[in-house]
Amino acid sequence: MSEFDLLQKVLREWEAPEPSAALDARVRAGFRAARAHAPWRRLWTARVSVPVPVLAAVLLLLAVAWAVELRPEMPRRPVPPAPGVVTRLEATGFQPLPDGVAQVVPVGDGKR
Amino acid sequence: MYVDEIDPGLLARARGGDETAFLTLYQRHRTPAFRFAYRLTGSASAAEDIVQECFLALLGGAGFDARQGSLRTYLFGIVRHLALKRVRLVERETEEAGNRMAEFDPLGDLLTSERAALVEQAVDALPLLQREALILFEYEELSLEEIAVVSGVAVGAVKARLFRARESLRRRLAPLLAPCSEGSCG
Repeated sequence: MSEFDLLQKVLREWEAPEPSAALDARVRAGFRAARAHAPWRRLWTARVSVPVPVLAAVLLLLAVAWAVELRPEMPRRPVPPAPGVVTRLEATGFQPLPDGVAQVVPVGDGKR
Repeated sequence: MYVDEIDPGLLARARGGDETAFLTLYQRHRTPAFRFAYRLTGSASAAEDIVQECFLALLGGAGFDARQGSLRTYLFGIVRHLALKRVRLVERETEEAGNRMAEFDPLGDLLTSERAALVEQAVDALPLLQREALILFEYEELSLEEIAVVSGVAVGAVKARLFRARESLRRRLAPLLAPCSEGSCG
């Protein structure tokens, strides 16, 4: 018999006891107590397993969305009118056309 | 179907509240889990506490992933974690660990103790990581790869721990090994 086998044989002389019946009862009671917890209470201790790359991508997206949302709005610059052209918009007395027939009226004719 | 393939299904049912599934899993794994905890802690009551905590942790959503190993190795991992926490706490409190090596006297003990008690003392005197590797390999018959998963180290580290543990035990149990070779220990 090799020294290795001999050592193995000697080691096997140390036997562990069997677990007691009291342990079975304790574990069963523990299971019933855990099961008795309402589902909404289990929600507080529930865990979700997420792969690290997915978590990193979600965090990155959230950070970008947050940054875009909080970006200060640039003040709008008034558009300067093109030289030589005057734009006038007069809406006083405007009425929609009754039957959609459009008629072009030159500015000079309207005054008359 | 192999036992390791049935376990994840049973676990899912147990988590859903199926007591029969839970008890089937428990009956299947409780004795190896208890033996491992007992041999690591040296205390039956501590081992029972650990086994109870281990199975309830399994229900409470501890993250078992069948792709990373069997439920058996996963349970050994939980037992290991709980047992090492307890052993380290006890060793820190009593400072017994440092003195144990010095107090160990195989020849003297041989006169008063039984052989099994000597083996237990010799295993108990091993450094913690060597002890767990030896227990898992020799008593629970886990493969080197499974021990590596349980301990969270490379297979090479497990081999080194086992080698050192055996060397140490061979020296310490020399008085027992010699009579055995002459056929006096069964």
